[in-house]
Amino acid sequence: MNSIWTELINWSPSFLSGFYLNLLISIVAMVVGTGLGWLLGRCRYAAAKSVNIVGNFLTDIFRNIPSFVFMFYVAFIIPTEFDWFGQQVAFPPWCKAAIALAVPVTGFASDHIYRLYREINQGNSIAFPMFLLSWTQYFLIIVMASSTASVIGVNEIVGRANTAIAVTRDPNTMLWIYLYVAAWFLLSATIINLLLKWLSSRLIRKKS
Amino acid sequence: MNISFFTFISLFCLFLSLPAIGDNNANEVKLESPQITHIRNRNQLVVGVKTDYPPWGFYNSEGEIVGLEVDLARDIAKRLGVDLELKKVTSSNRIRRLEDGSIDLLIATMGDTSNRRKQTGIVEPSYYASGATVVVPKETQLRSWSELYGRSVCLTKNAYFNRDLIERFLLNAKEFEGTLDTMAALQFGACLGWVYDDTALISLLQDKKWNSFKIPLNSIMVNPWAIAVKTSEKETTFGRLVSDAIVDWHRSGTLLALEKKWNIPQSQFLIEQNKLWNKKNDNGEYLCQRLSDGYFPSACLSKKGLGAEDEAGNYLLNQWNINFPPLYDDYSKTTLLEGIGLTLLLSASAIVGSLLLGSLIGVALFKLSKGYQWIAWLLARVNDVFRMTPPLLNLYIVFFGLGGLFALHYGFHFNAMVVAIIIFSLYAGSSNGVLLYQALNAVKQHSANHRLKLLFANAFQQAFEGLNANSVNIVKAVGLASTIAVPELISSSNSIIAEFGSQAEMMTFLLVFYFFIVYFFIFLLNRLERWVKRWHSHPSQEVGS
Repeated sequence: MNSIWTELINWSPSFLSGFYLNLLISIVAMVVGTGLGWLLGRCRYAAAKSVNIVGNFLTDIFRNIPSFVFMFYVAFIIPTEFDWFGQQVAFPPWCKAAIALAVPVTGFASDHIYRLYREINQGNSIAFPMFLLSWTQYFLIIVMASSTASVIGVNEIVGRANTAIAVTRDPNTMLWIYLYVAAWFLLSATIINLLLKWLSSRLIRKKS
Repeated sequence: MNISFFTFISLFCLFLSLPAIGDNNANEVKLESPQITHIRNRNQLVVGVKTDYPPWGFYNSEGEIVGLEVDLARDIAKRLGVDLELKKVTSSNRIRRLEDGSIDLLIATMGDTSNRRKQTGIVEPSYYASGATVVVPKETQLRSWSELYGRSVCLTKNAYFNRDLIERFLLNAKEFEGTLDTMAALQFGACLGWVYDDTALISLLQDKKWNSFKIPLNSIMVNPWAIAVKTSEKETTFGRLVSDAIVDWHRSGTLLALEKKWNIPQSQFLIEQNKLWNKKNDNGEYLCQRLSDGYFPSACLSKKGLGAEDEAGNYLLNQWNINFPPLYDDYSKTTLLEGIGLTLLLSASAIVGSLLLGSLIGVALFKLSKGYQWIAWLLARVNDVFRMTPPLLNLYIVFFGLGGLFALHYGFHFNAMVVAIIIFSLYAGSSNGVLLYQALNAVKQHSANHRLKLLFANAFQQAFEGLNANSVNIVKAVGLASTIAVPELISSSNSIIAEFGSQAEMMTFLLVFYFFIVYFFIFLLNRLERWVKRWHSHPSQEVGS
């Protein structure tokens, strides 16, 4: 038991820098996806019917394609390095993971921003803060999903857990390492949820 | 009557004599080769080789193309008594270059496949063949190649499949020079396993030093390599000359020596071929030599005759260069169909499981919150754990973590499919539980009738949008099961990619397939909602009357 604790403590710095990558991937995915989704949501709210149709169709595509499948697609299709005016530019796997995770974010953002435009138009004063709340909640979902980046070779926290397991090579510690990493996700989720609770309570007070 | 009988007999005799005529033709007429005349006229043999594939064909520091295949090209030129000119080819243009006459001969790390046999003149026998397999420490659980996706894996420098392996398995590759370095890296856990030439690894593991390691998986990417001439030149003097040269290289050990010269790890294939082509019968004649029809006995060749294949797949491949293996390869077709079936089964089971589990959790929370608050609180926290941890990690925890302990202490192995169904049911079921609990509370406030059955039916309808979304999420997430060796759609597509290298085609197929399958499940779930509505409207009328 003692040795398991020391193992976990020894690996913690590595897991921390891995988790930093999870957060980085998630934030980039949220920013890119929200930008794209905003564009689509605006299209769906636009006056021109043809623009609406395009917005709806593209949103459907973004909503229906699983990020895990798209992650493989991006990993296989985009080269790891490419020529940019004669210069070799590296395209690291974590960027590919962020692009893949931006897909579900785009679908989510398109739906919520479309709703946001409608509600603002109807005079709902807390529409935007409500949007921010669900946006933060979705961020949590994307942080969870960022763990899948390990399958395309991103050295994020689950990938590092797999490395740790390969190094220790003890079936008894394997379970504890995975559980420990699960605790990291649980902890970050709890923190974000507490933050959300505090925010929404302030919001309700402000409104009343 | 008599005449027709006579006609029958004569036709029958003609039919019997046909094969004999054919045999005579092949035996006596060795076609003159226009290509060889052409080569002699210009006093130059043009050979297509690779320049990005050390040590087979690459640029050295002086900018010359060198490599094992270049040496082979030089030998053919010597046999013809002409100069050699090398032309750079790539995997995508090599056959076209050969068929349009830009090059006379193709020696460019080309695997011998049935398709290529239809496109160009593959010369027999093969000059090289190999497959890849993986060595892991004995304690490591590794049940399928798909578990290697994105993992750190040791590779040996210069193995011809390294690049394909990295591309097809998205490996975090660590390349080493020698076997000792690699063994150390394996022991320190720098990589999960060592993927290398199968024949070399099998002989290595016979050494005592390696008895704490094992080869858990079958070889992949096994392929004989072929030299090719233009289709029309296959049976001519030119084709025969190349073919004889290859036989000679096998007999004399030229290929074995070249392998050594270029520091290529010794391949079992070359050793076996060397023995095979040197085998003699009691009269001291080689067992493997041309029969009277001009062909080698099939036992001497590594690639047997062509299998039946689908025309449509070949059309796509030849006309559009779209390589979708399930269209022409029966094995990949079966793999893909089984993958689709398993994905649908997994999705449907997990959706049913998550709805049942969600109902159970929702009702339990609802009931327990009156009088047994602390149990309800505990249940809600346990439920949170499943909502707030990534399903991928949960799959690992149960399948590898718990599964490893069970295998170690009780010798009991978890079924990957069952684990996946349970984890996905828990993942979506925990969210469904919260949705239903909230809906039950909301419905209770507005309802006079507190019978649970009625409340639940109302709550289910109210929470339907959320339940629907969670169910669709299951369909999107089931691909994760590929990481624990469930041979579902992503797994099977990946294994086809590993075998055929058709990344773009298989991945595009996956995206399109998933797009429609998600639509299909949304349609089914909407049907379910309508059905629930109808079912629910009857009891409420009953109560109302």
